[in-house]
Parts: sequence; C-alpha cells; structure tokens
Amino acid sequence: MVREYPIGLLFSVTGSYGTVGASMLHGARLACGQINADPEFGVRLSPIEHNPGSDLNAYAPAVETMISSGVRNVIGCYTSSSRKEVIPVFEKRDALLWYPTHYEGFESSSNVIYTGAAPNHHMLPLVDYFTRHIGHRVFCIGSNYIWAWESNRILREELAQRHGTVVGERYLPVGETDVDCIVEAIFAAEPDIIFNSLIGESAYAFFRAFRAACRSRGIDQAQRYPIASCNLSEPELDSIGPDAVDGHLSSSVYFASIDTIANREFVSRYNTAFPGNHGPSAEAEAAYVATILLAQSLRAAGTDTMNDVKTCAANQRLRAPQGEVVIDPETFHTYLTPRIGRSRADRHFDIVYDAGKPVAPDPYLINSTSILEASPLRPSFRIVS
Amino acid sequence: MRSNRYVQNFRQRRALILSRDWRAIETISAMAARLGMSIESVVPDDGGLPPILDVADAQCDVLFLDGDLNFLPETGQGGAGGGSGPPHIPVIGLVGIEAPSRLRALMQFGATAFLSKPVHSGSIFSALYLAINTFDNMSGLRLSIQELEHRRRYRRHVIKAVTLVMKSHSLDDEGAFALLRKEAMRARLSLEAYCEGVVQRSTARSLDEKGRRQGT
Repeated sequence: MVREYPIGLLFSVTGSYGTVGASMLHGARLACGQINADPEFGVRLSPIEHNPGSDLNAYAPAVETMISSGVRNVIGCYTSSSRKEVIPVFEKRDALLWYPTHYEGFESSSNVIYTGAAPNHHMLPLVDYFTRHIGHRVFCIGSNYIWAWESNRILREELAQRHGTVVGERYLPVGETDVDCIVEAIFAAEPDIIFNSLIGESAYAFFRAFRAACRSRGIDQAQRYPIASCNLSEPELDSIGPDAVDGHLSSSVYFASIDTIANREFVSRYNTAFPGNHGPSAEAEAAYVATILLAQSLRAAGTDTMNDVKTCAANQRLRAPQGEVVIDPETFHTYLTPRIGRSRADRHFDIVYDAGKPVAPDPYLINSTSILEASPLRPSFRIVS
Repeated sequence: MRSNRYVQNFRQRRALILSRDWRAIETISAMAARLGMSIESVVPDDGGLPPILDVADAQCDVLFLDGDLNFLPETGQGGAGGGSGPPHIPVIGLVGIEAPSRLRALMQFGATAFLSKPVHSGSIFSALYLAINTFDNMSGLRLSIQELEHRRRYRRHVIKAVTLVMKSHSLDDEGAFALLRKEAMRARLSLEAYCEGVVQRSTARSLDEKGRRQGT
C-alpha cells in the first residue's frame, strides 16, 4: 500500500539569498519526484511550498500555515536566524524540521533533524587546509548575524591552537552591498587569507569589488589574497559573475564535480529536471538528501507523527551523491564527507581535499575544541621595576 | 591560579542528576551525553543527600539538583551524606515550583544556574555554561578574598618593617617601602611575607642583645 504524506518545503527563492534557496527547492523537488515515481517505495510525498522571500518575519507564519494544513514534517530554512525563528513553532506544534544547511553548530533541538554540515565538517578542515598551505594571518568578514559571529569565533579558537591570528574583522548587514570600507581595511591589514562568512548579495558584491580593487592595484587576488568560505557553492559562482569567479576556496561536503557514478547520475537528473540552471549546489544536494531520508523515515514509521518519524530517522542511511550519509541517533545530525574545492572560471570547483569517508557530526565541537576558550593575545604578566 | 578563560567544552565531566522527575532525568541525560559528559542519575531517598556527593569533585562533577526534593537546606536536613554542608561543586537548580523559598533553598545549596521544569534540552548547554563558569568565578573570588584577608592580617608587619628600615637605613617612608619591595621581589616573596621575616629577624636580634646585656 502506498501512503501519501504532506510535507512542507520552506525555502526563500527570492530576496537576498534567493539563489541558494531556489537551488535547495530544486533539490527537494527532485527527491519528491524520484520518490513519487517509484511505486515500489511505498510512500508518496505531496509537497506544500512556501517562499518567505528572505524576510525573517515571514518564516514563523509560513510554518504555522503549513502545520495548520496538516503538515508535520518540513524541509527548509537556509539561514540560522530563520531556523531559530521557526523552532519554537515546531516545538509548540509537535512537528519536525529537516534542516538541510551547513550551520555553525551549538544547537540540538529535539524537533530538528540536521542533515547539513556541522562545524567540524566545514570549519575545521578549512582552517587545517589554509594554515598548512596558505598562511596564518586571517581577515574575517561576515554578514552581521549568528552564522558569521559563531563561524569567526570558531575560526579564532582554531587559529589560536595553530598559532595564527585574526588581523581584522568586519561585518555588514544582511543584503548590504557597499563593501568599499572592507576592501580598504583588508589592504591596510595585509592578511594571508580572507575568511568570508558574508551571505547572498553582500558576498557576491564583495567578490566582485575585491577582485576589481586588486586588479586596479596590479595584484593577483586569488594568489595574494585568497578568499575562503564555508558557504560558497556553484549557483553562487554564477551570481558573482565571470570576472571574479575563479580561485576561491570553499569548504563543503558536496561539489557537483565529485567524480562518482552516483553523483554523475544525480547531476544529470538535476540538469534534466531544471534546465537553464547551473547544476546542483551543496545546498541542493543537502535538500535532496534530507527529502529522501525523510521519505525513508516515513516509510519505516508508517505514520508522519513527530516522535515515530524521529525514532525511525535515527540511523537512516543513504548512498547520496556525496557518498554514504547516516543520521547519528545521538545528535540527530548527519555523518558527511568533508571536502575543499577551489573555484574555476567555468563555475565549478576543483576538489583539492577530500576526507575520503563520512565523518561523525560534532555539533558542539566536543572532540575538537579545547576545554577552555582561546586565551587572549595580550600577555598575562607585567614587568615592574 | 585560576585562569580567566571560560570553560566552553564539558566533555569528560560528569553530570550528577538528583531528581525523581523521570522526564527531566531523560532530557538531561540525553543532552549531557551529546555534550560528551558521563551521567550518574541518583534517585534520592528521603533520608538525605546520597553519599556520592561526599566524593564529588569540583573540577569534574556538576550537579543537577531538583528543587522539588524535600531535603534541601531549607528543611533543615542539608548536608552531603554526613551533614557536612552542600558539596562544593557547580550546581544547576531544577525549578518546578517557582516559589521564592524553593529558589532560595537551591541558591543556598550553591545553585548558580536554574533550569525550569519541564526541562527544555535547548537550555541545558547555556545552564551548564553559566553554572560552571559562575562557580569557577566565585571560587576564584573566594581565593582572592582569602589572599587579601591574609595580606591584611600581615599589614602590621609591613608598617613595623618600614619603620625599622627607616631607622636602620636613615630613609624616609617612601624610600624604606621601595627598598623592602625590591628585596621582596628579589627573594621572590610577597611584600607581606618578606616584611614578616624582617620583623622576626629584628625581634630575634633585639632579644639576643637583651639577653647578652642581662648576662653581663
């Protein structure tokens, strides 16, 4: 017997981070299509879509509406602020959020399944990589909200352990595109590398402006001031534009250029389903994976009530485009395979590092950070005469 | 000396849960395990606090104490096991009945953070962070106060030593103090400890001389 369940797809496909949201929606739609096309699977998904338009205030009402219409499982949210906005609604209404985005960690809501990367999947490999191959003096830039604040805190902690320093730190409001002051500050600080946690339009504007400023000074930006991000994927390279697209480092669990049969097949299906787009992104793959894992959990539970689905979600595994993924029953985060890519002019990534196997999620970084916070740089003794 | 760096990772600590509320025990146990902590859940009897608290270690253990238990200090039965007072470890109070008397009892027992019941797993990390770091801060302050009290008791030695050096070296009080401070640093002693030595040596010399005079 095939059971049909309504599921919510909550992605901002317009507004500041609409590019990524649209890519995530495509991933989820592709998975729904795949499940629904297979009568043997035993479950049909009937997706109900809402577009909050990158407006934080629109998220909670959208979830209320979905749950009121019978939805108990929602795949969605990109920014951490939007996730924080909707979690109380899920907790109040006994519903489950499947959150398919890389995030900064330090959360473990009992109403969320986290299928995106935890900070040990993206931050730690990236810091390891650039301190080994590039340098130890880092300039941090970010959008002024929890993702960038926490990412930069973790970066500072990791750098301290590797004897590196943060030589500057600047934040812009989400959506702000006037980046000139940041560009000037970077030239003044002369870092080895820039760590970027800007999101959406702000990030694209920065990549363009910084490349142009370097060019006008005769500097090869990708060589002298490489930019490393944990939130840069293929569709965003499109949005940056052809002049500034190459040479950027990105830490992610998925790149469309992963050379495996499963991924080639996924990319081909994605491109067929959504022609005119520039292939799947890490977020699209994460939304695809979340949707399939949800469908598997629904099939195992035989119902869509929160507790049953959550119980069955524990240990669900899938041969995903990125490789094997498994939901950790302890943290309800997911085992994923960390990778680092360097962007090319054709808007794909060369993979310069691959962990080779799925890594256990560590959302609270209990296995990787020190017990005490990083010590301040100023000396703790004084010379007296 | 206590570092002013905050504890942010609770792995290898032990959560001692003292409650009869199975929902709270379940939620705290699940979250503590995610944070890399080991868990010791103790269902107390009415006779008093369990003996495990007698051997609790401030650097390792943190106590989740249910305010709805009936043997808190307010009821006059406080004391870990043998009645020696609350254990000196970080305590998180689990608050069911939010009456001031219960909150007071938990605070008297050393609670430096509260978690309202039913316990919400999303609040546990913050409560641990607050409880452990506040406990460490308070322990640091307590040590500082002890040290300052100790120094205050030795203030008279400093005054005596300054007077002695003024006389023996024909210096004003500023000069005598500067000399003592320099010598204390050279001897790697606190100023107070060094001055105590100066005064003791001076007293011993005076007694010797007095003894010699009496002997002749």
